Amino acid sequence: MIEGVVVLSILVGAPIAMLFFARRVARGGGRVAPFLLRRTGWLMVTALVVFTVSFLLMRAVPGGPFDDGRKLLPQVRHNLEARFGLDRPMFEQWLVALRGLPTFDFGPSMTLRDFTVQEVIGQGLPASVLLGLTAFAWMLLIGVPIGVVAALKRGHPLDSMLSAGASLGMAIPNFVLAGALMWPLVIATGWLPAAGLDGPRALLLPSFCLGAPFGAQVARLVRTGMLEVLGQDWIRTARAKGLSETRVVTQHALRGALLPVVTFLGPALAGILTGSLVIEQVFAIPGVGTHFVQSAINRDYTLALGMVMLYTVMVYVLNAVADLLLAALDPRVELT
Amino acid sequence: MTALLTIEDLHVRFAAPDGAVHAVRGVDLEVRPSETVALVGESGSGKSATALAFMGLLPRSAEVTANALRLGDEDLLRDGGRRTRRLRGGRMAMVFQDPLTSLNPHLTVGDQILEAVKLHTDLSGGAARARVVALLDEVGVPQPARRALAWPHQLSGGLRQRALIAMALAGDPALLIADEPTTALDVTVQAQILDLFQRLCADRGTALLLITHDLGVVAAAAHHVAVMYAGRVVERAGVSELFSDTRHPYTRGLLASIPGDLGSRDRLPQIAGAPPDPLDLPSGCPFRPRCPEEVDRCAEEEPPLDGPAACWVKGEAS
Amino acid sequence: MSRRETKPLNRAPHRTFAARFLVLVGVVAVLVPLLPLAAPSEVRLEEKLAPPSFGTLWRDGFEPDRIRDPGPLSRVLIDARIAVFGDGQLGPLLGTDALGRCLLSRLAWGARLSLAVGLVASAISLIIGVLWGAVAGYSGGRVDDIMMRIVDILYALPLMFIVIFVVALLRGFRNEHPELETNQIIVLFAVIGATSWLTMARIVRGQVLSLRGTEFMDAARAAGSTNLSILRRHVLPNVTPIVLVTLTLTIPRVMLFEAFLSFLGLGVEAPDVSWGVLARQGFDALTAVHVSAWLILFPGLAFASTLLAMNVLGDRLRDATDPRLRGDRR
Repeated sequence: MIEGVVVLSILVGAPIAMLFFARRVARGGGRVAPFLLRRTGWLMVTALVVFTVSFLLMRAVPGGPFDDGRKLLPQVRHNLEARFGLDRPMFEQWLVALRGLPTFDFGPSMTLRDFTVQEVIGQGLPASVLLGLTAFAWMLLIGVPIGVVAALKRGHPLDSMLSAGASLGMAIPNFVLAGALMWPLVIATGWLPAAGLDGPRALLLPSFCLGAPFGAQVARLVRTGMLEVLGQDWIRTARAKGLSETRVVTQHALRGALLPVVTFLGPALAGILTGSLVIEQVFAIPGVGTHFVQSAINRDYTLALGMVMLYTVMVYVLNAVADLLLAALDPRVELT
Repeated sequence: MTALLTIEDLHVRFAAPDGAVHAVRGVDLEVRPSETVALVGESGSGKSATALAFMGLLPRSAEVTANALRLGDEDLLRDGGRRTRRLRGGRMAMVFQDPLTSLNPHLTVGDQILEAVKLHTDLSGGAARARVVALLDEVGVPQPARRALAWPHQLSGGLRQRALIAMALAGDPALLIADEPTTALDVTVQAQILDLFQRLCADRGTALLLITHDLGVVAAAAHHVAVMYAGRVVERAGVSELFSDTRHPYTRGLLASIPGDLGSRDRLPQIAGAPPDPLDLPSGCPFRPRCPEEVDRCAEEEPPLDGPAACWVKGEAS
Repeated sequence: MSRRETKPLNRAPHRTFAARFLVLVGVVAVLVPLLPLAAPSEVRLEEKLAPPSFGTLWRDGFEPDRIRDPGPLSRVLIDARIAVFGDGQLGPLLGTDALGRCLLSRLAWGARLSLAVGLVASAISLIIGVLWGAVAGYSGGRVDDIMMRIVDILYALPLMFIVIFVVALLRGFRNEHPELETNQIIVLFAVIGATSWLTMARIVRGQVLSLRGTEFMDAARAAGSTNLSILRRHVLPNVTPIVLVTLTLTIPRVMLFEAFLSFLGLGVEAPDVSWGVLARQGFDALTAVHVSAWLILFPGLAFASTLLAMNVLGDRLRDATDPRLRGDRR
């Protein structure tokens, strides 16, 4: 549902924009408005292309939503096709679907009887957004402190331990991690619920399993970034000013060391969305991820289209937010 | 009058892959209030390491020992560097060589100065910001209020160095250490920055330890001079004595390599040879391999700095 | 003064433990048919979910027909194996799965497919990426602008989702027409490879662009070399190190993606077996009432150790080729 996307972008974008841009805009250095305009334009182009390509791909693969092995009477089949407008010319179908694109109003799902695409998204999106945001928080919560500590303790056994842990975290599929943690925390002890999304306790494990592998990558980026930054002359200037070591790290070093992380945010967010397809299935979370795969397998034209467009828009918006953040943190970056 | 800066028998060692580099080997130095002292030497002579050791800014891997490091009455060797950090940026401040890399590119110039102002004065809010602008104005930055909002990459090298000087002045220091402050700048800007230092020190009564390899700068700005070679002070004198009555052959070599204004087109005389490898110093006087006046004793024993110069030949002759 | 690294990185990347481990895994993967293992799809329901044990070290009963269409190389290796070991085979040392299949054997055969997916997909991305980047960087000007603009646009697309979408569509088609023998693995190779060349193209283009201005390229051109020979003799050797690094870091990503698709039921299909498939089956065994931890433990270990070794090797290679990270900055 369009509200979901709007809520998501406001939820993530607005506080960041307010935090970082108030001063730059006030100083006349901000080129935020033209940037947003340009990106909105590109979003429309991208959405149109993805929409058309997906539409054609679905129609190009033989078989349709009603070819799921059951033998339908020709009359029943004809009625079904007429109901969903599948008997009309291809271009007309495309146009009808296109009209629904701005509001994700693609009509009723073809395989989930009694649900429209909007309803499916509306019911699943909150859970998915919640899972994604929590995983994102885990990613930063794990990655940044580990990276900073490893860099400050460079060469120390603690550094080797943390770095090895980070490399290991990148080497395990998230559902294997989920399995490995599920056994002690859920199956053997029953500390955490195994499935569903009732209450914050249920969110803990899924979001950790989804965010941790990206946290591992963030840790490596932060460590490298910190080591690079700590060798800079301006860190010595900050020390010469009389700043405490803590403030040198938090106010000066971290800012520069986080830049690689911010460039990584776009891919990381896309990765978290991708990973959520698996994690939602692992923990039986009622999100939109399950529908994404299932609707494509079922050739549920309307729902599949809705899903592809939903994820396209989310990836695109999150990428734009990441770019804004990068420009806010590094004055030398131009917004394009 | 008691000294403002006191360094006694300072040693600095760096761990290196193939043995420890003994970068500073027993340096004694004094700077009195309001006085400008120049620390002169080639790169690698240990002059920067001396200053950084005093400021407590050497990397942790460096090993620093001394009989005394004092700023006025404050003993910097006690309580494990905490005192040094409290005084740093306040009573003593430092300006570095390369203004292009010495400012944090992710913060505005004004914010970086503001940090120092807030740390070392009681000012806050608008008063602190006004102070930043006043400081920028004092160091000769045109349109200081506008420049305070600029990012470092938007300013020229000369303006950035002025901003760094303003930052150093934020705590109203009694001692300013400037490490080759003009080396990275254009020639025309060099003179302006040097003038600025002289004017500021005269106006504020600030003592200046000026680290340089440029004897022209020394002649223009310093009251006293200490010449360093291979981690040691080899000659120490008032600026006029140094130029009129040079004792150490190394200093004479340095002086001879200054281009004169006589319009001579001859090649500048240079000191033969290269500075010694700090990992493999020659026996006796480290300057011996390059010295035109070497005597037998020079190979046996390193000359101490008893008189004005650490040299067997001139030390005895005078 | 520089902060010096106390521990010099003087070990050559190819001599490290990680590299040797990878060579071992690679050799095992290639020579699997030669090893006296049970056929990976040999079902023994009476032995289902047997925990790891050394109770039965050796037994008879190898069924070569259980290995589905082996290639010519595998054929030769299987014949050699039969000549040496007869129909003897190792017992289920690492336990068995829900159908009584030997996990040890399935892991070994899975290594084959997982590594093949990683290598072939990375090779496809390598070829497209290097060619694209080299041509763009070398041509410069308008051609470069257009080619890199295309890369930018593709970057902005949620390619992962489009890949999943396409694979899922094809899978749905397959489910309904099981009589059609389209090979899902080939689709997988092609789609993954075709979508992961963007980074490679950017890196190579950057390298080539920085080489273009250097003197030896001018010299080569002045000496009358053709564009193609310049590309082959001067550009490619110079971009090889960075390409190698990117490649070592791409293979693990592709292997993770294979596991991801296998989990969603979109990857490798039975009776073929990959580490991703095994991890999925291990995961399923966990949620059952009967916890068979070995079924997820060993695939997980195989995955983690191999990918860790690749990441470590990639880091080493990068440190060796990128002077900025060597730690001797002044």
